[in-house]
Amino acid sequence: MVYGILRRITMIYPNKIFGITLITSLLFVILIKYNVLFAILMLLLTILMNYYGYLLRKKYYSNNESVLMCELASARLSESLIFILFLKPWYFFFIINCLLTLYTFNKKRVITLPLRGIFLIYLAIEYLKLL
Amino acid sequence: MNSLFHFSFSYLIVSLIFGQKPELIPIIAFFSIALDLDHLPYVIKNFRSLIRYLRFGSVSRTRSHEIFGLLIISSIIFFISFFYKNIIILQVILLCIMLHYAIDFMIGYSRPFNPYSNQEVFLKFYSSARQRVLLEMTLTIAGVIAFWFMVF
Repeated sequence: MVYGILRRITMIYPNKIFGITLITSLLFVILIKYNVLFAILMLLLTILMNYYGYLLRKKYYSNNESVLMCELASARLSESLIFILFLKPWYFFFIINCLLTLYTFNKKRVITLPLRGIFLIYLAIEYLKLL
Repeated sequence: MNSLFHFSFSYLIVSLIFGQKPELIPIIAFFSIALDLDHLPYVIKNFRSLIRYLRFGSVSRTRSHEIFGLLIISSIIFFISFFYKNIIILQVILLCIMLHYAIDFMIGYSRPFNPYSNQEVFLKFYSSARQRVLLEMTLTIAGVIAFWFMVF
């Protein structure tokens, strides 16, 4: 049974996972107003899901441009939602990331900044300071 | 996604984040559906086929509806934030616009890298046109009911 569940998880279409990261990003924005710890956990979940989607894409859809585009677009949309309450300076970095994504999209290797990861560390440090 | 859902969902999320602010309803109403204005030229040009098939598709979306537009709008609002002191209004506007992008990206077909690539992206949360209609109807009714309960 466990094998069956694991097999089903690995067969999820990565685009669905990238779509769900948008929902978790939105939940992060809502939660940050109420409970910072839960918000940090939601951000961590977003990053982990995005990474899992990336692994699935690399393994099963490495030549599929549509899935790559979905990954990049969902990452930018997720960042745009996450940083709404942290306009300065995070939106500046987000704009740079959008520019990088568009600029390097037609190159061999897409280069983007791991903004959500950096933001997670920043939030965790700020939260620890509050304790 | 339809304008009614965009508005009611944006109002719901804005209320959850910033608290109930009925005075912001006109701002939320405008900025949650303003992005759809780019459909107008396509609607005028293809009115008959739209009536027959009731489907917009990704071709009706201009580059302002994709990452390119996201970048431009984000840059403009970020620039304005240096001069305009009421940051909450800017955040509400930004939230409405970003929610519009996110909802359209999740529910329909999009071309996120238009004009650099015309490849379509679809998240496959539904598999037939009938399921899409059901999903849209359910979400819209739920959104309107939530809005009704929050305001009245």
